[in-house]
Amino acid sequence: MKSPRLSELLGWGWVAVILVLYLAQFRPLLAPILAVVG
Amino acid sequence: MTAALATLLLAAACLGGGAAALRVLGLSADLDRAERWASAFALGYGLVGWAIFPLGLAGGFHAVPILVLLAAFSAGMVFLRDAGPGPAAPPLSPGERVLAAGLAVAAALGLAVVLVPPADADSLAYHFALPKLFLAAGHPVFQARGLDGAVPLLNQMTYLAALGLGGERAMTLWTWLSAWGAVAAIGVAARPALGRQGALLLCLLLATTPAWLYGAYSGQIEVRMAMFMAAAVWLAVRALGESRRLGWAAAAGLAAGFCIASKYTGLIFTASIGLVVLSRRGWLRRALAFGAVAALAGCPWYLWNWANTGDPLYPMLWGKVPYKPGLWDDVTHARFLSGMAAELAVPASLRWWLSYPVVATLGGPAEFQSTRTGLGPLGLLLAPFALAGAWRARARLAGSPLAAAAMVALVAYSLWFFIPSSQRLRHLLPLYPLVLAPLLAAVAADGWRRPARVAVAATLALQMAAAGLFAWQPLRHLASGESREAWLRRNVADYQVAEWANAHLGPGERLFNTTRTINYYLDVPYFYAHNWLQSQVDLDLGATEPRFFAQLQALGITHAAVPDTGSTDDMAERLTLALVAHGCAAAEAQLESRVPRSRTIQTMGADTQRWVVARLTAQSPRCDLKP
Repeated sequence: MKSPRLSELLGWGWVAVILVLYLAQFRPLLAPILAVVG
Repeated sequence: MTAALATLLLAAACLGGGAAALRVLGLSADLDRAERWASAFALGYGLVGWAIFPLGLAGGFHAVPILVLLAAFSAGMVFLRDAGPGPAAPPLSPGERVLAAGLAVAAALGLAVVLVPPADADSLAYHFALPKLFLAAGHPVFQARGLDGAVPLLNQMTYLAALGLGGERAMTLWTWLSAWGAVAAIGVAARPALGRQGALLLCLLLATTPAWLYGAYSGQIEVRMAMFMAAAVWLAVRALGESRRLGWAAAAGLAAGFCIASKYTGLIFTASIGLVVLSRRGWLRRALAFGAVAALAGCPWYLWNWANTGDPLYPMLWGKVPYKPGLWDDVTHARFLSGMAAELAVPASLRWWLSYPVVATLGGPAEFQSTRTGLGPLGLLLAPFALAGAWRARARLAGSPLAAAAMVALVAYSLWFFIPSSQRLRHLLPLYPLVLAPLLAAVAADGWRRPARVAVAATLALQMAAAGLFAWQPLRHLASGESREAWLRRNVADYQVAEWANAHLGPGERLFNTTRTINYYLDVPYFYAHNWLQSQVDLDLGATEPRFFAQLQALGITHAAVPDTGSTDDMAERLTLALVAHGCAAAEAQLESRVPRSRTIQTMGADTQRWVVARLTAQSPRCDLKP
């Protein structure tokens, strides 16, 4: 059984990795998006 | 003002029709106020769409008959009255106030999107174009075009009512109101399981999901199908508690039937609801009530297809059922199958069934269309917390309405994946609320750990930013005083062709049109010639000039607008220019159109397309293609 601390750490890691991977697909759109609002 | 009144009348008709149906089915007394309004709207929206079709078959696609029908439906609002004052709702907590403010901002941003002329390609090709065409004729006009002509059109009938009574502004306002009606109905259905704050959170997450933003404020169907699916599952679950009374099963069947009448995929989505209906004691009576009502609610457009072509699923059953002559052929069907196959990026294998949701969330092949019109990161972000929560609450899972919703979504997803038609992620939007509600409940059962809370906050921040970006161009247009024409030239691919046709052609002429995005904006008679979804004009590589000429003449075409690219691959271009060479057509105009790469991110630029418009000159002595 994982300790609550370890499971929380795993949770933070999961959220960080998924967010980075999800946002990575928008990288080619970043410059045009910034140009829209800039 | 007329537009607002027409939109409100349509909303009143939906509420009234649904309330009357609930009363007839004997369910009103068992619903609290919010449930009564929410289920009345969901069922009434379908009932209005359902009732308008026969009105059209009787030649009643005119303002007065539509007005009378909507007024009659509105009278049903009397059944929404409460027997007495209900318990006062507790005041909003600080968290609920934040969520309510978020919903107000999202609704205001959506309103900006519908206050500008419509520019979504599918809406202009058929969701809005067909209602305009039907209204001009006074009755439905069968379109022998697969996938965007001869399709279930329940939702489009409500657009037709709005357009007929209040014009374009009423129609676009109605998409906004019906989308927020769907959000509210889904939120009310989730409230018993998630609590008020959880339901508000679900509403905000749903209403800012990229695929929802994309579809809600246009004629796209999936948002409205999500309402039908949620209502059908919610009502089917309620039906399980009743062994004698069949009203719940019948109401579930009504919502399921409206889903079927919305889109072909509704057939496989609602089949999965059978899982719920067939479980527990008394399944046979429930299934009969559910199935009979679903068939009645869902069948009109399939019958209409069958009556006009011989195929209720036109053109899916080509080769399996007898067809009326002249509508479809083996060559077109082969090209149709090949065109459909082009929307499939991965094999329908067990491995991809498992990995599709993950890959589609993180990008994936272009065919998934999951980056800009996807479902956002939330499902993947919360997955481990939800699994932990589901494990903790495993004793309560059996018989839980949310577990039933998740199972329906899982079976529907599996059917959708293994009966491959298209792998666009946004086509799964009708199932998303059935996943989102159990997901949030399971994470709550896990105690809303801090990383999960941050994941939700990050998702909301990203999605609200996306909602703002989506509304940015409309807001700029509204603030700048830019003309309607300038907006359309900037946002609608090939709009310049419609501008030319509207200025130069009359009601006695007919345009051969090869660009779908201008169908709605054409004010003159036209024939839209899709490359592989119709066979009235053969655009296969083996098509011949005499046959092409004869087919145009049979359709009463006087002008053909085709790309002027110099390529021999575009058959419409090649054949039309051949008619000019044969002296059977004369080039009348050369145009240049703009094709934006993105309406939302206009800084991505646009492509330019050259066009030639040729006038058919069958009577010319030079024409050597005379039959």
